[in-house]
Amino acid sequence: MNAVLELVDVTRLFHVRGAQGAEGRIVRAVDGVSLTVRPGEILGIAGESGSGKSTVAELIVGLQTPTRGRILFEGEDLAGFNRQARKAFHRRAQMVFQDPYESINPQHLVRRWIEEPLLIHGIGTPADRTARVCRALDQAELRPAEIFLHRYPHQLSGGQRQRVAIARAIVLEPAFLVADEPVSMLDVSIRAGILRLLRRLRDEIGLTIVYISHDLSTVRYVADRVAIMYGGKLVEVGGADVVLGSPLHPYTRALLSAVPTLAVGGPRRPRVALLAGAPPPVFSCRFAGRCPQAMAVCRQREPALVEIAPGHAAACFLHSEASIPAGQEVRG
Amino acid sequence: MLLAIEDLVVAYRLRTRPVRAVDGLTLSIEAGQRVGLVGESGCGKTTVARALLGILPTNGSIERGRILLDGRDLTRLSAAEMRAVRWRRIAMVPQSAMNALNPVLRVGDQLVETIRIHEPVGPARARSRAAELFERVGLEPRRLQDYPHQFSGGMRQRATIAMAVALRPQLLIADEPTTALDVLVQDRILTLLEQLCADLGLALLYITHDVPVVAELCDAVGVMYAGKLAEFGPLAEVFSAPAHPYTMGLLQASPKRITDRFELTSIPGAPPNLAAPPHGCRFAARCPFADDRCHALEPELISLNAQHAAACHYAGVAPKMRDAVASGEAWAQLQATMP
Repeated sequence: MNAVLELVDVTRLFHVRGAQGAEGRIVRAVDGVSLTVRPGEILGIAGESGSGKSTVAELIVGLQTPTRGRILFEGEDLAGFNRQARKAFHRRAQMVFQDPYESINPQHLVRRWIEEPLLIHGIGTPADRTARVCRALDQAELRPAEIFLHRYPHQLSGGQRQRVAIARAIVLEPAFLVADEPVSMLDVSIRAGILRLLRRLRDEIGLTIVYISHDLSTVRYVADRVAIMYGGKLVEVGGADVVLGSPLHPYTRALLSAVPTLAVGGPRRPRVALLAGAPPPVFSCRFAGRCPQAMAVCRQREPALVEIAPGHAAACFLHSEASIPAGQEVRG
Repeated sequence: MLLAIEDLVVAYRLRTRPVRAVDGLTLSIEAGQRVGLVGESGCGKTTVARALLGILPTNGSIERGRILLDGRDLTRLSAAEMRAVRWRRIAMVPQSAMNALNPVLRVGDQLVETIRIHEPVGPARARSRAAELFERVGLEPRRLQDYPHQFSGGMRQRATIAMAVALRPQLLIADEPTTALDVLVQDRILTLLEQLCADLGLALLYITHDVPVVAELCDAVGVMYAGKLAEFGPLAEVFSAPAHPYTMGLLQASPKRITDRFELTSIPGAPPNLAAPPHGCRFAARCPFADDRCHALEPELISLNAQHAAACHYAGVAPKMRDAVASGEAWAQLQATMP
């Protein structure tokens, strides 16, 4: 399959210690997720806090290892990498974090901060490195690059810091970039600029991007394909136009109906009302307790992610029970 | 008029010199009205809230202006008189519910205490009021026994809302009350605020950087930029026919309908340093329409009609500016000229 990165039935469990002698428990942060990242696409992963989206981000850049399942980078299993292969992988998979204030060392000049990955990987002569740092700054639209080289982080605005973080991430010319909530700390007026930069990097240097956010409107703006997560599971995957334009899963619909928009006038839009149900039993649909359309089957079995229309998959018995025989699962 | 802020100037003493975080703000709220106050971080919106409640940090002070609540100037009240206004007349729902609740006290006890400090009621009566308040904000009264950490983020915010309305204030100030919450939880909190305002006849000052939330919740909107009011008016009018280029930019930077593809524009540059504010219009450096006049002369608020005003020399030709913004050209050209 033509994929930069592929998650095959990946599960990541965390053992949470109980408080004051209480028994610990296992949290299924990511549970049986299969997902393909195609070359040159921007894949948006959206969900609420606790949905597992940030764990997915950490898994795919190798900051976490799966408890079960495989993660393939250009067809090779990350788990099988030796030290050298791992280092090569880290060069090609980069990450940009949420907080541009915490992810940059305040005592380092911009130049040193961006150059560091090149030094770690032993790349280039000093002159080469300066040229590459300038090119990365220029690609991150910090122009003219020369004036940003000798600035400290406190001399930069929030948007400029996030651009510096992006420049550092792309200076190694990675194959793909994971951006975890890269604009949620930024002011509204500059968010669009960062999001457009991500799209431009995809268009101009062919960067594959996994964009992770709780904010469906930024996902809508930036992503080609969208994966919606709930309770550690993928509930819906497909093109951004179809998933966010004609969603199939009741959870996606509820999320979309709750996003505030600029449509002014009249009463607030009708919402998809969710139930305040108890968490469902294991091996049923995770969303069954809150789903306004839950059926008996939803509490008995777990719906698989199946392709409902070409390129549009959902894990919901409302759509799959009638049309797809059991066992014919399709990967997202 | 419930609340009238007139020419309010709030300054913070910093090491080097005073910084005017709010610089000449005039704004009014009618009884039962829901007003959104939007702007970027650092524009002064939280300082406005703190000044209204008389809880400015020790290095902050009101330098000028009046805050009239039912005609009484709050800036002239003593600390003791102001305590009688806080909670009972004006209450606040803060950004972080965790900061508003004491982690080592049961939520119910905190609510009862809030009631009993301000009103001469017995413990049993206060407790039954607390139970009523919990039901009103969608919490089960049995959860009064719980500690804050036993609540989810949304429940904590409901509890702080219960506390804020406990003494039946006339004005509720909500400062980014949903920033830390997921979208589904945010949605329910907004619905709750809307209901409370309607049921209790509360006026609301909703402070946020999130323009779409204001679009859904408020009747009127004030847009702040660098300590000043850029535009004020009825929501539908400001959002459909903005007269200040900053408002136009904010609207272009916010998603319209998520189900369709949309374009977003960003406003290049950053707000000015308030320790050394520029001459003329504070938005001029980021404004695609700014000319020599804007850089030299500070614009006054210009009334477009009885309710709608904007602080822009060119508010009178707003339709032309709106056309240029809508075409997407305005900021793209400015961007090209900026470092």
